[in-house]
Amino acid sequence: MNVKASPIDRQVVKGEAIYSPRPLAAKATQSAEVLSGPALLDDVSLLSGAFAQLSAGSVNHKLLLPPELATPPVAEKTRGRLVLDEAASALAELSALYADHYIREEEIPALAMAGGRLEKILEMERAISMLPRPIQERLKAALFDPLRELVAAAKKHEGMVWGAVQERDGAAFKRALAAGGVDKYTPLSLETVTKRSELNGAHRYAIGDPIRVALPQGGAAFGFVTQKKEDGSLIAEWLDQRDQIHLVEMSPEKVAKENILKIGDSFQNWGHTYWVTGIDERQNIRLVDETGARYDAFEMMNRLVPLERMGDSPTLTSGLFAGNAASKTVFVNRARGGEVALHTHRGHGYKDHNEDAGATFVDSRGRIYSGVFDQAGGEGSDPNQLGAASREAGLAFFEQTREVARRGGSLEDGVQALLHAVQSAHQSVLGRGKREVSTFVGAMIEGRRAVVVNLGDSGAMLFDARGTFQTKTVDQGLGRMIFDGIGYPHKDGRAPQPDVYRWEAPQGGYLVLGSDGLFDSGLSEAQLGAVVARAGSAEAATKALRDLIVERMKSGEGKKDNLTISVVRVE
Amino acid sequence: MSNAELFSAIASGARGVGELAGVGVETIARIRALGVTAFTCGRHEQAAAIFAGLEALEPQVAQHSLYLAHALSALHRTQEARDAVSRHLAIADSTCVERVRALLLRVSLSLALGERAEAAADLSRARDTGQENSEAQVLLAAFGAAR
Repeated sequence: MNVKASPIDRQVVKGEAIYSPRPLAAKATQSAEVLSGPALLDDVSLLSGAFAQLSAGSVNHKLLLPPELATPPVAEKTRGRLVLDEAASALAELSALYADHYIREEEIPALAMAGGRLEKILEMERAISMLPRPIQERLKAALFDPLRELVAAAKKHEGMVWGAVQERDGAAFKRALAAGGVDKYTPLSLETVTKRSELNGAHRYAIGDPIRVALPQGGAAFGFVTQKKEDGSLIAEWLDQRDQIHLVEMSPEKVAKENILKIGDSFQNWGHTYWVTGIDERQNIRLVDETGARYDAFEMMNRLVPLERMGDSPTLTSGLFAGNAASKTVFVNRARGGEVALHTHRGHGYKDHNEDAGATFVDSRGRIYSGVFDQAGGEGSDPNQLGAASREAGLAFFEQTREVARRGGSLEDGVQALLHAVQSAHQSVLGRGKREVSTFVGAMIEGRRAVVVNLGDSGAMLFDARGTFQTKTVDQGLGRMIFDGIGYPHKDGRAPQPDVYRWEAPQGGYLVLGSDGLFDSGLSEAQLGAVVARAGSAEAATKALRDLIVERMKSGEGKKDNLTISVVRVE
Repeated sequence: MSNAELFSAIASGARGVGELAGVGVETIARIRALGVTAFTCGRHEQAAAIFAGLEALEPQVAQHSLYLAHALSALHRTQEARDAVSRHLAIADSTCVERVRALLLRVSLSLALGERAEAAADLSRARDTGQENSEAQVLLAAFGAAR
């Protein structure tokens, strides 16, 4: 493999794998085109009138069409003829070049962009189905098939070269780490990383800082800040393939949108350190960890946990829905080990408030925590604090399991935390003196292993990836009779006695937690499993279960009740 | 031309894939007519795919980008549509009224994206561009934007 200078060396990471802004600013001031700022209209009322007329969908919008596109089609009298000069042979020749010859690293960006163009042409193949079949076949043989071969050859070589580049740069990065040469990066706390407004604000950029630049024609490039404007916008410069310097203005919103992380930052998560070293071959922000492995920034940010965003009081936005609260539709969290979704709502035809509660979050190691709490309707209730008992259960769940998350505790620590949460919530509810009772089912999931603590007639079920039922918790209730629960006043004064389960989920399996709105829906485990597996994700499964069960409540097939469902899909 | 130069030329839009691959002018005209028919029949998905392919085949032809912008706009793919009309405006050597029309399209797309500053700037450009042209003035007047 012939690997010469790396775009990474050239653009971002010098020999020691540390970014180093290039002195482009001086060059830019000599050859820069003058940016013409947006000319402002002096007549504001006229502008607003035009805005109303130009809003998409208005009648006048058709006037913007070129005449050709505005004219209805006319029937053709003669059949068209397609001429393809030398397409097949020319493309086959190109394909052979890429199939048989090495490619240099500096060709990659152009190759990637050209590949994108070729793929757009391939997409046209589906759209020309209106043409007569013989013409379609000629186009396929002469244009699309050779193009496809070329795209495949280009991708193959691009992948090979990037593999070699990655290996080389990973080794360079590890050497830099060993030499302690990463002090030019700005270490951020995980809390800061999860607060996007602080993380990628334009105010954090100084002149000379590297930045991902959004190009007017689409796509992005690596550039440097050359000027900061009073309104918070940045002027950045970037070099094109021909080493021509261009300037581009980026509003603060654009900066935040295009730079999900700031090049030059570093942070720790999941026990690893990540450095934001630049942009990759797809022009996305690139992260590198201590092993030299590379990550896509968008994917990484989607995995970052809400736990660190939570203050001492968990809120709806951090995943606790309690005290007559409902999730808007489905609350979703994604973790390294899977996905969790939660829905809680008053259901249909039962009460006009929701006395169920639900809670879920993901910790910085990618473990998932989820709980469902159902305040028993037939027991005590406080009209001034609807759902107070299930709220106490949810809060105790959060407080106890959050400590496990913070100190990186094990699954067995999770069991103890869940048991403590039960006892703590029990004392709180008894202390309220309202004779309220709530169920409690809480789970902690690490990889494919799950621990579940259950008290009362809520519960949990486990399915494999195909929806085949595996196991479930034992119901601690009988119809409307409750034998145990948070706040249940045992005559002998004993504490609640929850059951503990330790399950191993199959790969791609589902753990479903629910209130009795789920379990009394009249659906068998096989039916529930089929719905979940067909949906294919935790979010879709939760929505599908919600829709089905609410329909059954409406039709009278399922018990009318509050409804809380949490689905965890493990990887 | 080396592989690198060849692909750089395609990637930068300096040369079209169609030219390199030997796809004739007649073929492209025929495919474009097909795209126009798809658009006017309301088959915007197909039209968008055809115009995107044509733009890739001939990136130097501004008309493809404009047609693509209209197809994407009809599909409510607003951001992509605005990117396409921006590509068109960057290279188009169009008449006054055509340029005003394209600028007004970008205004409407920017409005749909909630980016009023960009819309205001384009509207101002459209008014400046069309101030000496009676046809453009009629068009601007239809949008209440004539001077």
